[in-house]
Amino acid sequence: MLTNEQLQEKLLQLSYEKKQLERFKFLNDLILSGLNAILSSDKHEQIFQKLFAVIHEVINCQHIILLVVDEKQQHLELLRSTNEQLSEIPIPLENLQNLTHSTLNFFNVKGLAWWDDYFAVTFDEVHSVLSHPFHTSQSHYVLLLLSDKRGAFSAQIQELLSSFTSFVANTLTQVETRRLISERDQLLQRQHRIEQSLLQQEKMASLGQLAAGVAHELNNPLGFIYSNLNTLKVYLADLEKVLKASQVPDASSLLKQTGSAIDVNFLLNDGKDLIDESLEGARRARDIINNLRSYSHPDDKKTTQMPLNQLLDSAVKIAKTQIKHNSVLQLTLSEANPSVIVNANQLNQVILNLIINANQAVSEGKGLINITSGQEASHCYFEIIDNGSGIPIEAQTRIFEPFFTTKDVGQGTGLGLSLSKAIIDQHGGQIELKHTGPSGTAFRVTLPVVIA
Amino acid sequence: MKIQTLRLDLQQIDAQLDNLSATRTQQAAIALCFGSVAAIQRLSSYANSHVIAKHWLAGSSCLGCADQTGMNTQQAESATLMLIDDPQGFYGVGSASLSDNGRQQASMAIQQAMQKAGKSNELPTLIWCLQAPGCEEDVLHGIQDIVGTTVPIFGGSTADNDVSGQWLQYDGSKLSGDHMIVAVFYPSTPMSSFFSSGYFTTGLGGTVTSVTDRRLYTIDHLPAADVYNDWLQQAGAAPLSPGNILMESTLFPLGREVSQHNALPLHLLSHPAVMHDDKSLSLFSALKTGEPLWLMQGDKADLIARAGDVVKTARQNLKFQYNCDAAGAIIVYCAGCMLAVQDNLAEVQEAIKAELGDLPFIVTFTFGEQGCFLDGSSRHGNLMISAVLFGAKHANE
Repeated sequence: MLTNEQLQEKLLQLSYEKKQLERFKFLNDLILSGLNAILSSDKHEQIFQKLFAVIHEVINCQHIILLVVDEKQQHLELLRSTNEQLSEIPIPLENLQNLTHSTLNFFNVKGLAWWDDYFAVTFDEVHSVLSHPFHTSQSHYVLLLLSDKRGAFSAQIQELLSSFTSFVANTLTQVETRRLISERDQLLQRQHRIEQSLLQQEKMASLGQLAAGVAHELNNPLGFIYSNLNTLKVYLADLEKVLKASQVPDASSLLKQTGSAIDVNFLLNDGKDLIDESLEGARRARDIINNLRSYSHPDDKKTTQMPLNQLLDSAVKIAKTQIKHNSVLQLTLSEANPSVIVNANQLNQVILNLIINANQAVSEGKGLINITSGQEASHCYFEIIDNGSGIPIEAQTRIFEPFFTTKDVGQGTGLGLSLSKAIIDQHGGQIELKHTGPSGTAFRVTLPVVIA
Repeated sequence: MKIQTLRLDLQQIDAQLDNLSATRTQQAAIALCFGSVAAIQRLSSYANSHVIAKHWLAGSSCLGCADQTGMNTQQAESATLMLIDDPQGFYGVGSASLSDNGRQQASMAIQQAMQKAGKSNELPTLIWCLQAPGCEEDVLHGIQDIVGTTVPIFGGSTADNDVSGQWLQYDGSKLSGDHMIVAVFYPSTPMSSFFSSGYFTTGLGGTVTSVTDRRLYTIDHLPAADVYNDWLQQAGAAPLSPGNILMESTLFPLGREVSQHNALPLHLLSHPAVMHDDKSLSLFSALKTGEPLWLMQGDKADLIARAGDVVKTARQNLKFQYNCDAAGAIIVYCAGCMLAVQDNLAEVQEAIKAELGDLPFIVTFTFGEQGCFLDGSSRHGNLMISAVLFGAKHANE
C-alpha cells in the first residue's frame, strides 16, 4: 500500500511526465502553426514572416533575425528581421563562423565582437541571444532569437526551437524539392523541344546535302518525261491529221496522201514506248519524293514493328541517290531478318547519317560502303563499314558530343552522331564506334529484337 | 561521452592514480571526486592530477561516498573518482573563497569556469556547485547574477563526519575548507536531472515572523522552538530539548512551499540543526520573514527507496525527452537522510543500482543540496536528493 509520501512522490513524477507531454503538445502546436504558415505562403519572405509570428507566440523573445549564408561570397546576409532598422550590410562569414555550426545560447552578448560590430547599435537592450543554424536542400540559415533578459533561453526553449526549426527545414526542403522538380520538368520539356528542333534542323541539313543529288535524280526522269511529252505532242498532231483526213467526204485519196507522209505505225509504236518510258520516269520521281517525304516528316513518336532489313533497304535507296558517284553501297543483310520496334523516321535518319558520314570519309570515287545486319541473342545489329581514312585518335572520344565535327566549317552541324546516339538510346539500343583505322571505319548499332 | 569511476583507497591513492595515468591516452574532460576528508586531502597532494583530467572538482562527503560497486562509508577513508571523457563537449571549473562576499565570489567563479570552458558568453547545459556549507543561497545568487535563472544548478555542500567544520574542497590545484568550486557542463550529449524531497506536509504550519538568515526566532510571533515542539507533539513525536537536534529533526524538517506546480505544492526543506536556549532554531538554509512554514514529515523506508526513485525519474526523462539512455549519474543524497538510514545504506545503493544497472555512478552525502525544481527554479534546500544523468549518445543522433 502506498504511503502518503509515496503518493506525493508518485504525483510529482506524474506531474513531471505531464510537463513533458505538455512540452510535446506545445511543440506539436508549434509545428502545426508552422506548417500552416508554410502552406499558406507563396514566397520564402512570406513564409519567414509568418514563422516569426508563430515563434513569437510561443517563445518569449523581443526580436527575431534570420540570416542566410552565402557560401560563394563567404558572408551572411540579412534575410529578415523583426526590426527593420537592422543594417543589411553582409557580415563576413569568418566573424560568425561559430553560429553556422551549432546551436549557441548566449546569456549575455554584450562585449562579443560580432555582436558589438553588427547588432549592438540596433539592439542596445538585448542581453540574450539564442542562435540556431538550420539547412534546407538549397540554403543554410542562422536563426537568432533576441531577449532583453539575461540568460533568457532555457534548455527546454533551445530544445523546442531545435525541433521546430528541424521541422521547418524539412518542410522547406520538401517545398524546394517540389519547386525544383517542377523546374526540372520545365527544363526537360524545354530541352526536349530544343532537341526536337535540333533534330529537325539536322534533318534539314542532311536534306540540304541530299537535295543536290535528289534534284539531279528528279531532273533525269522529269527531263525525259518532258522530252517524251513534247515528242508525243508532235505525234499526236500527226495522228490528228490522219484522223481528220479520214473524216472528209472523199477520204481515201486524202488518207493516202496523208498516210504516205506520216508513218502511223512508227508513231503508235514509238508513242507507246514514250508513254511507258515516261511512266517509268514518273514512278521513279514518285518514289524519290515519297522517300524524301517520309524522311522530312515532322517528328512523331509513333513506333512500329518492322523488319530491320526493310529499314536498311529503304534508307539505302535514298542514300544511293547522293553517294552513287562517290561510293559503292553493298548490302549484306541477315537472313534471320529480325524485327524491331522503332520510329522508322528516326531510324532512317540514323542510317542515313552513318552512310553519309561514311561517304564523306572515303576517297573520291573509290568509296566502298558495306552494310551488314545480324542477330545475337536478344539483340540485332547493323554495321556500316567504310574504306575511308579513319577517325583521328583525338576525335574518337568526342564524336558523340553535340556540335563536334571534323568537317570544314559549314559542311557539318556536328549534331549527326550525337542525335543518332540520342535516338538509339531512346530505342534502348547502343551505337558504338566498333573499329577505326587507316583502312576504314565501322559503326555498329544494336537494337532490342522483338521476340516472336 | 564515456564515463568511468574508480574507487580510491586512502593508503593507495598515489599508486592507483599513477596506474590510471599510465593507462590513459588522453586527459579526461573533467574529473569529479567525492570521499572522506582524509581521502580528499590525500588526493590534493597527488602531483600529476593534471595528467588525468583537464578540470577537477572534488569535495568531502559525510562518512565517505558510494558508487556502483557499493557503499564505502564503512571504511570511511576512501573516495570515488569519476572521469568524464567527452571530446566534443566543453567543460570548465572555477573556484573562489567564500570568506568574504560569497555572492560576488560566486559570480567571479562562474565566469572563470565558463572562460576555462572556452564558452565565456554561452549558457551551460547544467552548472554544478560544491561549496563549504553556510552561504549556499549567496552562491546560487552569485551564479544567477551572471547567467540568469534558466540554467539548472545542481550541487551539494561539502561535509565532514561530525559537523566539526573539516569539510574540504579541491579544484585540481588548491585544497581549501572555505571555498566554492563551480563546474560548467556543455556536454555533447543530453543531460537529465531530478531534484526532490520525498517529505510530505503534516498540515501543521505557520508564518515566519522573525528570522535572520538561517536563524529562526519566531513563528506566528511565538518562539520558534515552542512552536516546533508543539507541532512535533501534534504529529505524534516527542518534543526536543535545546542542543544539537540534527538527527532527531531529520524526519521532521520545516518546509516552505516554494511554488505550486499543477496544483501540486513543491516544498523546499530546512533542516533544524540546533535548538537554542533562547528558543530560536538554527537551520541549514535561510528563511524569509512572511514565508509560510510547515512541519514536514519523512519516513525511513521511503528515504531508503527515494534515491532509486529520483534516479528512475531522471532516467525516464532522459528517455522520454531525448530518446537517449544514460551513460552515468551523479547523485546527491543529504547527509542528514543518510545518517537517519545509516544501517540500511546498502539498500540505498541497491535501489540506485536497480535503476542504473552497471552504469557508473557516484553518490555524495552533503550538508545542503542545490537543485532545480519542476518549476525551473534552482534553489538550496536540505534533506533533498538529486540525480544528474549524462546521456549516452549525441543529442543529434
